[in-house]
Amino acid sequence: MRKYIIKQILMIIPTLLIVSIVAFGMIRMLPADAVETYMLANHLEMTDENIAMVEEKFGLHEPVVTQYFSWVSAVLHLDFGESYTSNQEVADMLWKAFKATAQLAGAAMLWIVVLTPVLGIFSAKKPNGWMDGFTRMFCLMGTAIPTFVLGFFMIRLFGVQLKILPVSGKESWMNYIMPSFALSLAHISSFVQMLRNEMLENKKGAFTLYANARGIKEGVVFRTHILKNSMLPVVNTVGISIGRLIAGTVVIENVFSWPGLGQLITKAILARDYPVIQAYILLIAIVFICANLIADLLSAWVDPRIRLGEKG
Amino acid sequence: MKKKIPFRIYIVSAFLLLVLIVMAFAPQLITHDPTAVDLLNKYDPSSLTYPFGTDDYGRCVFCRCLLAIRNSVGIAVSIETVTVLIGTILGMLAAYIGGVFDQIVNVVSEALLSFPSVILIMMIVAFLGASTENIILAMLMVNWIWYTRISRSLTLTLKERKYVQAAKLCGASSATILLRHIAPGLMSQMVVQFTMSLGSVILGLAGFSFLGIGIQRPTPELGIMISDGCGLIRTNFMVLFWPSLILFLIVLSFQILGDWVSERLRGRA
Amino acid sequence: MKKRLSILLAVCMLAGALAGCGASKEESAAGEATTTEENAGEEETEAPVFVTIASGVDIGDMNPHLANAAIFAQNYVYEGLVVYEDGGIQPGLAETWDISEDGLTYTFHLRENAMYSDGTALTAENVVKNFDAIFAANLYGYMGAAAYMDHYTAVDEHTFEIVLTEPYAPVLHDLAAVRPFRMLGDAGFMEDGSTDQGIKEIVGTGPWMLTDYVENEYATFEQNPYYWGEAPKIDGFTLKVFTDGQTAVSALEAGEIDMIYDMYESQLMSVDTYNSLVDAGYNSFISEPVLTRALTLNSQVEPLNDFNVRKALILALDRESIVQSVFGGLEEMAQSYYWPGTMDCNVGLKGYSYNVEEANKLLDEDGWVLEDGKEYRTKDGKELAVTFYYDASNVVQTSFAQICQSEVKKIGMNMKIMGEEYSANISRIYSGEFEIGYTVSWGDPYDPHSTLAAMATVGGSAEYFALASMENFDDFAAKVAAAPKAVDAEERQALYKEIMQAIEDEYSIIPISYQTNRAITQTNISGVTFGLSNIMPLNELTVE
Repeated sequence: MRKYIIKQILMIIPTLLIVSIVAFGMIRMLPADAVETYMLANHLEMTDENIAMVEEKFGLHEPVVTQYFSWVSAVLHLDFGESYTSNQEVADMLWKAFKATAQLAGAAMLWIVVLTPVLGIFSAKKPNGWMDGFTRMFCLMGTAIPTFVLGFFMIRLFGVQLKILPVSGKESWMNYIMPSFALSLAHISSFVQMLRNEMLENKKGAFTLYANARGIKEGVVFRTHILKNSMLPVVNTVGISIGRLIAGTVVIENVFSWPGLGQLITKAILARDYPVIQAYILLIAIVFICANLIADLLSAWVDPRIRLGEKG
Repeated sequence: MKKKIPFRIYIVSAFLLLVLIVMAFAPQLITHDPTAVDLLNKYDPSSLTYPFGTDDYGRCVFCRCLLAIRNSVGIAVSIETVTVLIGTILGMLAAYIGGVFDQIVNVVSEALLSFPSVILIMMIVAFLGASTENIILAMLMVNWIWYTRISRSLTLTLKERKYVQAAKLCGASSATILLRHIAPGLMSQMVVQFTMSLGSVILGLAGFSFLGIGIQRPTPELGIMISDGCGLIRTNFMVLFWPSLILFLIVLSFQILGDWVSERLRGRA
Repeated sequence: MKKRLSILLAVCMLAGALAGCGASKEESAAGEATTTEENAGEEETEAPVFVTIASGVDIGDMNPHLANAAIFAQNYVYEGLVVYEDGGIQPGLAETWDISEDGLTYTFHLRENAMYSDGTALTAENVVKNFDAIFAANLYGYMGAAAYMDHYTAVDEHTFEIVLTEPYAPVLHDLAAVRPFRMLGDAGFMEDGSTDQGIKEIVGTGPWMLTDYVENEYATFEQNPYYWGEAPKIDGFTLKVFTDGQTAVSALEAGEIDMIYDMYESQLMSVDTYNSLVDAGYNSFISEPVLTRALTLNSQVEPLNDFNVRKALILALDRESIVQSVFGGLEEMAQSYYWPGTMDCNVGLKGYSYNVEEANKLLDEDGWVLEDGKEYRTKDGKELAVTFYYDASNVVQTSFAQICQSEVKKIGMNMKIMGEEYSANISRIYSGEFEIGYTVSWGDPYDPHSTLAAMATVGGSAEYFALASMENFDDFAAKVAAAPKAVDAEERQALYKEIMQAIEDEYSIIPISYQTNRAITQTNISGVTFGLSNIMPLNELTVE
């Protein structure tokens, strides 16, 4: 088990390296000059001396490789520089936005964790029954609606017509309901489908046959064997989806005015705010990698077959 | 014992056939110029000349929807086809050839996958400038990675199959093995992936239009019509309703179809 | 294994729940201000009155001397020596002022009762400190008066003097602007007296002070207890940030916000939305024109370098209809670039007419031929084509682009339109790499002298590229420089008339409409007032 963990962690380093180079390099190639951006944002006149001053401030006159290494060493000290447009510390901005998005993603996870098994069970208990049909339709529809349309509809229905949920802000837990549900719907739909497929597979499996032959009650068989076994691949995928949830909030945050990473990176890309974009890329890559790692480790912990399989 | 084809598949297929016809003949079917601005006709209600009414520029919503179907589905299918092809071939080659090539492909795709595709696409568009061609290019550059992964892991499994080993022993060339033994094995899975992802590509395009970096106006495209329509959700709901409904039905149809195909394949395996 | 799975499930659910609860605990002190108890030591027999307002932007870094904050937010806290209100310069922190006969010395007599929100008094030394910090930051080349200031001093505790190098009539206008010449209390300066790297405290003399702020969420302002002027009618307000206009409207309809106030920096309501809200019975308010929306033609590029092409394009646009249908009566068509109500701009220009026939004739005579079966004219093998790059996130620009594209087809011109994002579009226009671009004038108190100065400077603004083809451009530039220095009002007016006529004759700047600011409120709110294009004055706001 330990070897497994260590190996996974070691794999991260080359990946991160590549990501950092790509992030750094790609942005240096963007046509709107960093200098121009900064000057426009701060209403500086385009004089030669101003240009030189800004270039020096950001070390842009040094060779690219030097810039890369100074950036990397700053990052290792958790200094991500200052935003070009607002002159705030990027680390600060990123942390605040990350918290907001993480809260939203957490609430979405709650929906996923609760609804997926419930709907999956609904479905698989009596395949092709009406519960199954209903659930499958629900899932298929969940993946066919654009998120922003869903968001707007929910706001009109629950916020304006029925007035039971708040439309703006994030003060109370009620504010989380609509955006997190909209965020989670597509995921829930695909997980439920996956869970259902797994359960149906397992129903046909050998050990189910044996269990039934031994006379164990159907309900027990279902719970102990089918459900538990089916959950495993789903757990793995759900774990991986943590990363996707955190990264996929761009549209939802726009609709619900949620001050998270999605808004931050959208504004930064539009404004060519290099320091923010670079820091974001690194942060997201780390989040994804951690999410994948945790998902792998959790699966291994929960399912001995994976753990033991490593040795065999 | 052949399994019955469920009734819904007939409906879905008929609908998709209709979509195909619309796509092929859209330019002949429309009666109004879809980009002609006529501000005196804003928000006309449904009538015989304007089956779906007019939008906020006085354009015929029905005509725009017909063309939009062609554009949206056409663009999505092109993107999907290209990315699935590239991804499949690359993954297959990587897994078969192995060695350094495989390692490189693996590491690069891992690194790029550890990154939300939405953000990658946004950055590419920021780099190239927002235009119809560029959003397509950006999606092409990003979507192939997923298929490479799948194709690679599938090929790894297929490589070990007995018939492949046998073919090797008989001295068949790599090209033959790839084409005649491995590729067919991949086909079914990739077809499933293709159908199931089509919906999400169309939706992805819609999302980018909402953010302002998708298809350029005034080209009729479902995503941009919907995102422009959201601004009218309170006042002229029908302008939003029609393209939304159409998009929903198309994506739903692809999902149902893909779902059934994958079920059949699983049943066979 | 099943035990581990259950544990896993339980942990997930707990984590999710904690995420939700953690949030509500943190934020529970915040936004819903309508029932909060005042704790600034006031004695109120009734509950304090707070209003919630939707804003499309975050207030930003509230530094009075820099450009990172939203202008309307800076305006709540910081004041300047004078203000621009009711069509002219009014006393601000300076109660009265004298201008010497030669026009070089401005002596300001500061209010003795002006105080900062931390209780300190406004003194001339403090004003000097502010001016020092502003000039040290060296960011204000565009503020004309700054270039003309030779030196400034604190004559005594309540008298502040500025001496110019040359007479410059718009000095007071520049001082009235929201940035940068606004005063920060002593406690706000950094150790070395600078402000360009940041400020320590947000301390101003204005009617409001910032009491609560969560970035990108909301900002709460309450009355400044030391304010020298008449106290506002409400006790405070909260600006809630909305990234989507539809959501803001939904919030209004759900009763979560009291007002949506659209002005230059924050535009959440489209014209149709505004009109539908009026129809729905909400209170509506609309301002006088605040600035001009225009389309600028770059006369330095083909085919727009051909005067006849420009004239034909302008004649082909039915601006009256365009403005009527895009703005539905909320804005009037602009006949001249500056609204006649602007200082010195009531010069009686004719304006452009709408005449498709003449436009076609012009192009025919110019050699642009429309061959049979072709949609667009050609000349020497080249198609008559122009490209309009617009900001796709701006609803008005999107409308203009699509409409104009359709209009110019009537004269056989192919206008391609390309939506791009805001900053790319701004860069393009500022650097002159455009053919047609959407521009706006700067509004009071900058119009007309500052905007004209920019137009007359090489690369100073998008309009420069439009006017650069002028035959006597240097002459024009000289007049632009001379006009504000003319102390005699008649002389000045005559100069401005010449200047504006020259602009009109060039047929390269197309004024479309005069932008107005608009507000929608719940039915129990009144007293909504307007000022400059980019401020949101709330002193008169009343809740019934």
